[in-house]
Amino acid sequence: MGRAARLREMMERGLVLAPGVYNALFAKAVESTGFEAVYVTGFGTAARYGYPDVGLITQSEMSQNLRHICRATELPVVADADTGYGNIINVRRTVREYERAGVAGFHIEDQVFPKKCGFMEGKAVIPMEEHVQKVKAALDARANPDTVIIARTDALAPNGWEDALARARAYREAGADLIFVDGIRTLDELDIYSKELALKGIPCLYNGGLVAAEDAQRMGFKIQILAGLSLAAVFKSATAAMQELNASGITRQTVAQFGPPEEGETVNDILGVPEVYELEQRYDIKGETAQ
Amino acid sequence: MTHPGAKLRVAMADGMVLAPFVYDGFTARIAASQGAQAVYMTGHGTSAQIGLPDVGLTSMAEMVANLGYIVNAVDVPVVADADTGYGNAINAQRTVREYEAAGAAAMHLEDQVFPKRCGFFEGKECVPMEEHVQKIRAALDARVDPDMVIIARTDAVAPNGWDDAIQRAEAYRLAGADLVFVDGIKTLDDLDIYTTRLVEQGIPCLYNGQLQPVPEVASRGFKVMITGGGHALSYAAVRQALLDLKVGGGIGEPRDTERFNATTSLLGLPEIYELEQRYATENA
Repeated sequence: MGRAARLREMMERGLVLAPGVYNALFAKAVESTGFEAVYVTGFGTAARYGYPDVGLITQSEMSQNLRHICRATELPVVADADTGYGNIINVRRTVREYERAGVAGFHIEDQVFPKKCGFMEGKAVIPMEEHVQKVKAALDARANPDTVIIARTDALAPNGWEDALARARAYREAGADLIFVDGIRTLDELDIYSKELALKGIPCLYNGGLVAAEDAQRMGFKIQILAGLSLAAVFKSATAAMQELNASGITRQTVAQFGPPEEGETVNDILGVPEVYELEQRYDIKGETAQ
Repeated sequence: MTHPGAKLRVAMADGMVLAPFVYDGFTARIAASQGAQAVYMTGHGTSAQIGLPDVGLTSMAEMVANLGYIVNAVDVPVVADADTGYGNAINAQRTVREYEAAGAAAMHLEDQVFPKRCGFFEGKECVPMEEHVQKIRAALDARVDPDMVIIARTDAVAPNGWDDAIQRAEAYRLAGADLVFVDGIKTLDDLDIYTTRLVEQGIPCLYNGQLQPVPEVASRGFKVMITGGGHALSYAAVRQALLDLKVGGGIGEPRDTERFNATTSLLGLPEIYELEQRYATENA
């Protein structure tokens, strides 16, 4: 079964919890710690390339990152496709590139291009009818009917709940597999999201950690992503390491070279160094049998 | 425009340059924001973030792409890992041109056989010394700007022992390398040998590791020190966050507006808002 079909099967069984990553190494960590799906964040991918999440990162850079991530893990990958990187014509290409990269599902949002992170100030949305067409174009462009198309609306912050709900319903009507209202900051907002959409038979994705997965499931959500998990962890640890280096002139040796000192796989284990040594033996790369 | 290598040369003339390990634009920005005067792009980390072990699978083009992002992300000189130069002397020449065009201040080329492996892995092998002398000469010839810093690395300590490593280091310096880098220094005894037999003989050297605090390494006379947690530290932090998430059943950390703002500031969001104002049209 393909990864997109597996993702659909998982959603049938219950809520899918997908921690956010932005590179292949962290995707491997998600798999090895026992999660069943991975989310790839555009915010993190932009940060990885040194930019804020304001639509500067291109479709090809996102696709390239996704290719590496999908190769690094067997898990279904849910990805951020921003606005689809242009109009409906661009959306068609994005869908094909993402599918070819191996993505199981992805979300396309109704912000104007270039977009902004869902939690930033100054968001603006395109007319609802225009995004309905984008969602339809995305559905039509799928090569694999199992690919999960998630329609995201960013209308909550600029336009309020009434518009956000109308958009969510229209995108679902257009055939979107899931709806994603982004920018949920409080439990009250999450409650409205749940009662007005998720519990009314519209499959929804929740981005955030205001409630635990079992509660999110009870609230009717199909997917919960924690988009910022990896970036926050790296920001904290890399900043602390630099401060430690500045203060004491030294950083922790074991972690620096070989990964976490506690139980579990090191960086080199998870990247497959042991398998490389095995292959060298199998194909006699060092020419030892010839000597 | 001043070549970034010139900035690095000025800094090296003042004392030892500390270049923390970074593997992407984000960690480069974090290092620079904490006052790093240079950053070091690790090949191990560049490979890791695309899911590969550091055994020569990552291509020169992939390294250059990452280098470009890091260079654009920070104003400080970038010292870059260039492995073996990705082939023979001809490949090394193209690598030098691509790295220089991408904006590197310095790069190191090592004497391992291709495909290489991480300097701290088992099973390293070196090409004959003469072959690497030629590669260094080729690299020096390929520079567009003579300020580009070419660092010759030897991996000979582990497979061949110190005598061979010293001989190689001296030969690479004689061939014109700006700096020499003996990799795989695992003990203080090794660091002492490195210091007395090369650094104190007047050969400009780079040290990779954290056996001693920065000031002590500097007082030994090294010109550049590359150090820090890099991607392994990030991996440990992400792994811990994932394990915490499991325990919490999906409850993430509470939304931290302060950290969110610190992250977006680090990435240049305030400048974006300023630009939006500066280039705004009237009906916007």
